[in-house]
Amino acid sequence: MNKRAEERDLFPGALEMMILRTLQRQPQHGYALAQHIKRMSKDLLQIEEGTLYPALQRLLKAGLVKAEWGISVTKRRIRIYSVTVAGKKHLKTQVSSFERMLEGIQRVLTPEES
Amino acid sequence: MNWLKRFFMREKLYAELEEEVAAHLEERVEELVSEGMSQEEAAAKARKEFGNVTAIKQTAREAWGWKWIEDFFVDLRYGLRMSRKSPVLTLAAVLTLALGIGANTAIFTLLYGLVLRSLPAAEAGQLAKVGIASRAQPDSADQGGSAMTYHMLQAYGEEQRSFRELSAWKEGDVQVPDKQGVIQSYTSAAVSGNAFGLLGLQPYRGRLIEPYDDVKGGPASGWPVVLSYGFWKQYYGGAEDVIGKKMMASDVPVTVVGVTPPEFQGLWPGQLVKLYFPMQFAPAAAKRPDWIDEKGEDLFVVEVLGRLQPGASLAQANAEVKQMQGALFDRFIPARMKHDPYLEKAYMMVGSARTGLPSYLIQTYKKPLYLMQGLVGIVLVLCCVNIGGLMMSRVVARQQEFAVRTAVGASAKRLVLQYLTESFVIAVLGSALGAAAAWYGTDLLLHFFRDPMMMEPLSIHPDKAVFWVTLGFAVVTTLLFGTIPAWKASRSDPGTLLKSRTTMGGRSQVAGRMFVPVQVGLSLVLVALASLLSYSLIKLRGERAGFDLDHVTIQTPLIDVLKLKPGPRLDLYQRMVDRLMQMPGVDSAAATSQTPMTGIKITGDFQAVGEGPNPPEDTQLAYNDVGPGYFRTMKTRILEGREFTPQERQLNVCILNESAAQFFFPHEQAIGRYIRNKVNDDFRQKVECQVIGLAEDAKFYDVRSGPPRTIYLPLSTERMDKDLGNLVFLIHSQTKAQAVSAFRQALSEIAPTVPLNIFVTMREQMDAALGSQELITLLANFFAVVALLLSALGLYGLLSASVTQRRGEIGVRVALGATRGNVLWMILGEALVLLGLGMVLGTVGLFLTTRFVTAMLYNVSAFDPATLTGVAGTLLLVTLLAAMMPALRAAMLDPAETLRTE
Repeated sequence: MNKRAEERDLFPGALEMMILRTLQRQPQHGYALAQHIKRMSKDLLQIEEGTLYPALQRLLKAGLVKAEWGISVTKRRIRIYSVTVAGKKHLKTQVSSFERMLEGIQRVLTPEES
Repeated sequence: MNWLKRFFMREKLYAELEEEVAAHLEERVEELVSEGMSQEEAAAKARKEFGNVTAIKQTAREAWGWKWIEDFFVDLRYGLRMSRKSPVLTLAAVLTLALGIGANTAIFTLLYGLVLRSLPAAEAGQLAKVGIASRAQPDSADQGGSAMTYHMLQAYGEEQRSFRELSAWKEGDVQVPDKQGVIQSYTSAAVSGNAFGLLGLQPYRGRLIEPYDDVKGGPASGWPVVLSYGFWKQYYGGAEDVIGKKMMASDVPVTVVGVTPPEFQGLWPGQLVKLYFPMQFAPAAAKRPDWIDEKGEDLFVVEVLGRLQPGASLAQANAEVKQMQGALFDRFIPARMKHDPYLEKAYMMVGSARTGLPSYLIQTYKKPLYLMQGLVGIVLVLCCVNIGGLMMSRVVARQQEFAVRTAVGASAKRLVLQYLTESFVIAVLGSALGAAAAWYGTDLLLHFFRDPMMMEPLSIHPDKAVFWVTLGFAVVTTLLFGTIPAWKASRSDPGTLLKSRTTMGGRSQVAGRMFVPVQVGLSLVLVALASLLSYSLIKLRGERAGFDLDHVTIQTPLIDVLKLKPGPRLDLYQRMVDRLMQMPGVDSAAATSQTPMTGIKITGDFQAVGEGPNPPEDTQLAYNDVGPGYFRTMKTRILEGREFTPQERQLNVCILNESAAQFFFPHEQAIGRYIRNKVNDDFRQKVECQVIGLAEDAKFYDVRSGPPRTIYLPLSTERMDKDLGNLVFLIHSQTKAQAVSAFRQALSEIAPTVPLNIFVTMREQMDAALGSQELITLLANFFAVVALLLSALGLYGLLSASVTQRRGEIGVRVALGATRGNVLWMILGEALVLLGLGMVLGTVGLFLTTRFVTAMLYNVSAFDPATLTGVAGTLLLVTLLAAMMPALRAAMLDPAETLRTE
């Protein structure tokens, strides 16, 4: 049941990658993160906002992000996530391997030019 | 933060997640409301965007990977609740398991404490014993070989390369006066100066024996003594100022320098060493200069413990010692001992000493202990099978529940795990109860572990290792009795089960059928072993020993405290004997140097003097120095000639037993002939004696061995001087109490300052020698009864369930004309088939197990037909008893009623 929810975000690890990239630009809390990813992907990706949280827990457990409690502009107690050093390194390798994969797929998909 | 720490903080982590998710939804709703949506619409949209809140929270929590632990706790709570729901069943299971695990833990505690536990030394695995084994005595290698000489050790130590260091140990007794001035004897050890350093032992108080202590004549500050923790508590009450205290040890002043740590109980398991001295102290205190002889003609008294070089193996050390033994034997075996049968075929060997040096107790009880462990192991399996059967019935009763759970989506894996957890709850409860029982049981068992020479009882208690093993038992038993029912539970098919409860057609077999033959088989093994052992014990006890066991009381007062010359000492013994004879209730009394049944083999080389070649065979005779009246007191018949008289104190007269006479003088008159001996270390006085009497054969070393060829010598001044210590008084009386009071009276009149020893009867001494046999027989019988009971219950339960389940079928049968007799036999037949299967299994089991007990059997074959018939009969009887009730119930069924309810 739970596995299915994960599979929906394109491929395993894609959501984590997007989270890390977003947080690297600016640490923020879960809600802002969800809105940001939705906005940036122009709603092309059908992500349920909630799926962010299991992903964040996994990243926390792996030590790729860290979290601190703070107060938001709307005076709400929020947990602000930021990327750790390990997280940055992880993101770099993930992105480069993703790009390689994408390139490979593209080459196959692009009609050969004669 | 590590995994475990986070686990215990998980409630907080989960709460934070809850808060975060709630905040997220709130914030979204606020935003949507601010965009103009109504509160309700906004809430619905926010939730839609978010997804399934519960499922997501669940997934987020699972990200931490604790699900299995949490499931376990849920199952645990559920298991406890289920156990409470069927208290009788749970109690039966827990008690059965407590019995099985308690017995195993108790025996394992002993096995571990005596045989398996490493010495509390640094890197005990490197410790090894160097000894002299002999092909003349095959079991000598099992014991790591016997002792070597002091100078041999020195020479070996200098040349060898396998050991980092070698140390010398010698066990012995010292006499220390207690607070009242009464001399007490304590087990002590003399050790080379490096011995404790080699072990890596730290002192508990003060210091241990050091190299500078171990010098001839003692160090300038006087001989030191190191106390064992037990002795320090017992003798000095654990006083802190014990260091520097003076005491007398075998009449030599010594100074306390330290205390060994409590976990160190000496090098010989089961032997409680109280005092430690430097090696050089032993010959000085015992006045035996030949123990460490300046000319290098030392006796073989030193046990050698070494620490192997890092990386060196026992095999290497053995190979090296093989190279060196020739030269060592040439140099250190004195000419007079060159033809000693043991030494002629001797070789040096290195064996592991991880658990210590071999001791009397270990040699006697090692095999019986393993045997007992095996025995209780079978019992544990039986208990598990029995509980498995019980659990199976519970699974069947709960099949509806399992079916419902499967129907609502529980996976087979979850059901199995959940069921195993339930079983584990029972296993843990049973183990806890069993372990508690074992704590007390161990003492009870130790009661049987007697060394007749031992001054105080052993004390062994379960420790950490035992705890882990018990826990291991719990887990293993869970798997043993829980797996099959769990599997059965997971196979509950919701489709058929939810539809109907009863099955009219098709003879569905009662679950747990296969458990019964296994129970019967295991019972058969236990009952057969118990019978064979009991039969042996009865024979051992009942057989004529050649002396009276029941009316002879033994007492060995420490007359040596009087320090008399041999002549006056013999006079004193004779006065005591004469006085005892006058006492009311005493039929007869005598003094002797040895009593039978000590388990110690003492032999000397003897041969006939005169015409004809001496028999070329073995002329080793058992010998005993006995005073006047010995035969009359022991009730060993004199067949010809007479006993010794008080005047005969020279080694010029002797009495032979029938076997010895037959050996030396076949078909001839033995009385009047002469016997002489070969002087050696075993027997150091010249004997040339005329045979004046012929005694009936009597057992000597122990109950198992038949009467050896024996020569009896008079109590001689010559041997009293050197080799005979305190003599043993034998008192023949109707009761032990009479003997005790008579002896106290006589001693108070004649030698009031002499300390008394314990009074034991010959029977008690023999029972001590039979200790392990007795214990094993007792245990085997106890567990055989338990096994029969468990099997009967198992069979009864199965048949009852079967009858209930087959009510419909039986009703139909009766309706169709089956008689009550037919029904009765149908059920009994079912029982008999199960019994038959069990018997087959049991016979196979017996075939596999009897070879382990043959050593304990006495005059009975492992497949004694009479015994086996009896066992089969017993099982048949028990089966019929267990089956009768259900069978009768089946026969009494009213067909009309049963068919109506179907």
